[in-house]
Amino acid sequence: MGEVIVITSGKGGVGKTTTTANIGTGLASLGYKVVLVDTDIGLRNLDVVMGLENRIVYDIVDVTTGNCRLKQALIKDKRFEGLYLLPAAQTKDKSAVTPEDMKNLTGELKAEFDFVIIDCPAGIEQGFKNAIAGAEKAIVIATPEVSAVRDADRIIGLLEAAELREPKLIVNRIRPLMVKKGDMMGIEDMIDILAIDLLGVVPDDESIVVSTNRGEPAVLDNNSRAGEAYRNIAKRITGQQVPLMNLEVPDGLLHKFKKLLGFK
Amino acid sequence: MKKEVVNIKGTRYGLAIVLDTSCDYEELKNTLAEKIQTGGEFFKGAKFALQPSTETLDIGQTKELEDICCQYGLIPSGEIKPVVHRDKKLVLNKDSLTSYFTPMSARPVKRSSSLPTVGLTAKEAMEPGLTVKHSLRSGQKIHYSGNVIIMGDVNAGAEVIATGSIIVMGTLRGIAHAGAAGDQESFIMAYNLRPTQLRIANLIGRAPDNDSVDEINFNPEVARIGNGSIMVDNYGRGKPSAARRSS
Repeated sequence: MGEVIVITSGKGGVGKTTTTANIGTGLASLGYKVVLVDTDIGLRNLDVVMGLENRIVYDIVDVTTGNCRLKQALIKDKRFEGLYLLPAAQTKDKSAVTPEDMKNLTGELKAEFDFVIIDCPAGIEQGFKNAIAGAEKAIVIATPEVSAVRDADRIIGLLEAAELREPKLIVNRIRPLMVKKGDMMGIEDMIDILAIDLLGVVPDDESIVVSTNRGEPAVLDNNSRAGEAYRNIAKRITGQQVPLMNLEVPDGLLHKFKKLLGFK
Repeated sequence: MKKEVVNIKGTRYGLAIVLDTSCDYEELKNTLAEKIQTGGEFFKGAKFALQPSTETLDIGQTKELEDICCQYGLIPSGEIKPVVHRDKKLVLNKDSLTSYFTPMSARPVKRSSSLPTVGLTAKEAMEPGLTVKHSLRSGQKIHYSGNVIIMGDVNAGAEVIATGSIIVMGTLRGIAHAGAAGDQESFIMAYNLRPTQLRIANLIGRAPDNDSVDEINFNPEVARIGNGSIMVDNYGRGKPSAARRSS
């Protein structure tokens, strides 16, 4: 029996989809059977980030309405044997699926997979309610911005009200130099407000933009610092003890030389 | 003079409905409905508080009687002080003053055995209290008729509204409104007072726009009304610091 994990944030644009793609790929690279479920009906893009857009035939609404069997809608990843994607519908909206549908769907999926990872849409309405309906655990993403932390706080309250206890926090897109200068919220400040356990910290990294556009999750890029952070997070989800990576970037001339020579 | 089952008395703050609980509950209920009905429009819009003569009414019964009054347009209020009878000891009942805002589960539980309480003023003894044993997150809201203690933080976007005082055993970042029914004596206290807005009775104060936030070095502070505005002082220190917030 697998685990159903919802990835949510409240605020849009903080990296839910990117995180879903990377954690899912990271878990699959560790040898687990993983399915990613995109619940952002009407605004699907997990398939794009995974580079699987051109393989979609059926989607989640086709499954819940009985248009096709669940197996038919699952898209096999091009890199990993055990990784599948259940894409969202693009031509419908959030009301096309009910929380009850989601419970049945995740119940069916977790019998088959080790991890069912649900990409939640932004907001707290129907889409959010659908996404969390079948979930057993939750990961909350927040960037070090006051607005993102505020929304994360609201989301944690709603998760707790929905009996999804002890959600874990991923701090995304942190810039250690700005934190050091006092221009950005630090991790401690965020944890102080949100009062939940930290699952990982992902540094702001240009390589994410490149990998997202190419449909190649950064977690597979050994030179990407964000990728390294996601690899660590995937390991922590499986129960391994991995210390937080050193976020200090020696941003001097020497470092640039080293990078140039490949001693990163 | 024949003792009446239901006695409606006007006080400075509204109607005190004194109930003789020694008689049958059904009789009490019917008499109350009858009395208010005969008053017709006269009672409409008036604030009231039920004041049973003993603590024999349970929460459900109290609620039912309150609902009867509400039906005829009366408004429950925690502000009305008990009518003191010269010929008998003052009887205090916390349950009768719980607000209709407050969910039943949050209401103070009626004690079966009444151990004597000595050393409270009449007002203090009348005040119900609510203890919340967790933090309040953005979007969460508490309405309570009485005093509220939060054992945790009140985050930005959360609200606590009480007719009494508010104590936050943590960081207050959201909105707190003490004395929501007009009690100017109520206060707001927090281990770390960083509110979006403070409201006491009819006054509103907010943090200055250029308030430099020092999240590490903080003292418990208490906000109360002084000189017609909300003043914030260190709690437990002899000398009050200068007010940081104004109305």
